[in-house]
Amino acid sequence: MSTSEHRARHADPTSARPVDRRSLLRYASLGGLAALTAPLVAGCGDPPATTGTGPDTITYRLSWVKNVQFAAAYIALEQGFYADEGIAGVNLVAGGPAATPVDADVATGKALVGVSAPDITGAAIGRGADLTIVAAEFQKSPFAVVSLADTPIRTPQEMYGRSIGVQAANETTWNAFLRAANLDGTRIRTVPVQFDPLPLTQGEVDGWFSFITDEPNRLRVKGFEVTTFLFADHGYPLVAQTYCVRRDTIEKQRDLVKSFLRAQIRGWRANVADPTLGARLAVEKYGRDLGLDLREQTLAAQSGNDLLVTPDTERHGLLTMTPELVDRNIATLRAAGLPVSADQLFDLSLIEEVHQEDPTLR
Amino acid sequence: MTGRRPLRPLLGGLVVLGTVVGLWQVLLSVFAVDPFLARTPADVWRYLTTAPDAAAHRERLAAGLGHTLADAALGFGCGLTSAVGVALLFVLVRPVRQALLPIAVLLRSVPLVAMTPLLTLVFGRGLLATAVIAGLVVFFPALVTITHGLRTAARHTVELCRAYGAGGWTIARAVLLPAAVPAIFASARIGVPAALIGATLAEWLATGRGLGYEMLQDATTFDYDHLWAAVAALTLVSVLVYNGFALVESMVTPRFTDG
Repeated sequence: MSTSEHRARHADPTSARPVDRRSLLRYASLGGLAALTAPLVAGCGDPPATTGTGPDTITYRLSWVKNVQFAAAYIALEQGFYADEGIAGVNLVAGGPAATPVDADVATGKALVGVSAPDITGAAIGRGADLTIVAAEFQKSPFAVVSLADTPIRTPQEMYGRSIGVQAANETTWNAFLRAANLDGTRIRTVPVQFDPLPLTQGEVDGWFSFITDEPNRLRVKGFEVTTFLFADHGYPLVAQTYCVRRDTIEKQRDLVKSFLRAQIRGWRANVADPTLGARLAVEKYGRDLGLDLREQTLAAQSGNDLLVTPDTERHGLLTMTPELVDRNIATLRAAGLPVSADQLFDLSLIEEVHQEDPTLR
Repeated sequence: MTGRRPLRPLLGGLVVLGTVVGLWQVLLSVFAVDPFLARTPADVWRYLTTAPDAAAHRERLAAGLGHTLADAALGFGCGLTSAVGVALLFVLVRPVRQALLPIAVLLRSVPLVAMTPLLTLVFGRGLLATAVIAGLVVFFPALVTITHGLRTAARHTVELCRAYGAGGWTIARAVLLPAAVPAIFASARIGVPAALIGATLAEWLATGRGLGYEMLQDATTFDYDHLWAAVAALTLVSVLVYNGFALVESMVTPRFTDG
């Protein structure tokens, strides 16, 4: 069964990992045990990320389905920013609610770069992964709990006695947040959920773990009035959408990673200038089978841009982190029970060099 | 019947376990699975026995396993009981079979994972959902096997009973069910791994408790030690219970088939 599964996945180049919604379902149809252990076994038949398509090809693992969250990559592909940097090709691999964690794919060499978050990468480092973060897109964590305005959850404390839908992919963040915010997890009923916030609108759960740019906007566009609170406003001020790579990648392919960063910066700058650009690409091309809504994706792009651009990035350049921001992240992670040092978790020398070498990127 | 016969399932169980452990070790080295992900049988043993927090590891694994076993037992019981009941109905009341079989086949052909979100909307996310999801996994193969088993009952015996005025229930009790004992045991054996799969599926997609969800959690929180230990524990239990049924079967069925 797993052999044909591998063949099926390889036959479809757009879903080369067990991560997008369709292949999640396909995987799941193999049956419980097989599906649950699939993320482990899936590694067996897959070629390493750097072989097969040339030395300067990058497999870039996304943290979620192909929505506007990854606008810069779509724009960089379409407008040739990667090609301008001499990158032969970028293979985007989607994630999803129950996908293999990005950091596991990067740590095992199935992807060269992944977009993740400091809490998840920190947890992976704690488990022995030789990873580090080279740049940060969002200066503020977009993780939030969304609830219907009729039965609002306005603060973390209001989650007590209620049920919250949490995707398995977000377990690390959820647990770290509970710890950092000093919440008693036993008083909150966590319910496993998937991609579609239907259980929230059906009243099956009272709250929904979300990306502030994503589910709240999707619900608003469908006509629901929603209430949200951001983890970042309640003891969890982390950066997000951070790029993680293996440390030996920095040693061996430093220039390739820097080229990738330059292309990403150019992609984001284009998206900041015109938020409909990435939204259109997500809706019409990259996430076409997700049934995305252009209006909602544009809203999401705008709220994403607000997290991307701050006075600090205006001064130091996109994707950078100030030393104060690094310290705040490390302190938060420590409070969340993820003790990791700044030197372990971050290597910001590449993004700093990129901006120093080309001030026009700023 | 010699006294040696019941040993056969025990021996079978040992052979299966040895093969699984051997394959596990070999596959990991042949495919050079990254050590960040991979754990060998020895790693799992260490995690559960000699590691600094081994007691806590065992406790956590036992708690999850207990939950999953309870879920699996529930699904197993519901699935097998309803399979026997429905199979009897099928055999005794022919129109029921003609009416229900297409529905059963239809339900069977929808992947359970695709159906689970709907099932959770209808049955909630508690025991009922577990009973339905895990029960369904056990139910269908059992239904087919047991229906077949019931029909192996000698036709003339059934007709004789009928001629003497026996009702459907008496025929079922005296003729059909004894004839179907081997089929019921076969279904029970096959039902063990199925019930575990069904239980983990229900936990993964509906209830969020037990090893089914914990394994998913482990994969997303990089706790591969616990993940491999959980897979090993589930496999071990599955083999043990399967062979337990085979043992009981080897002792019980001769009474029904030889006579």
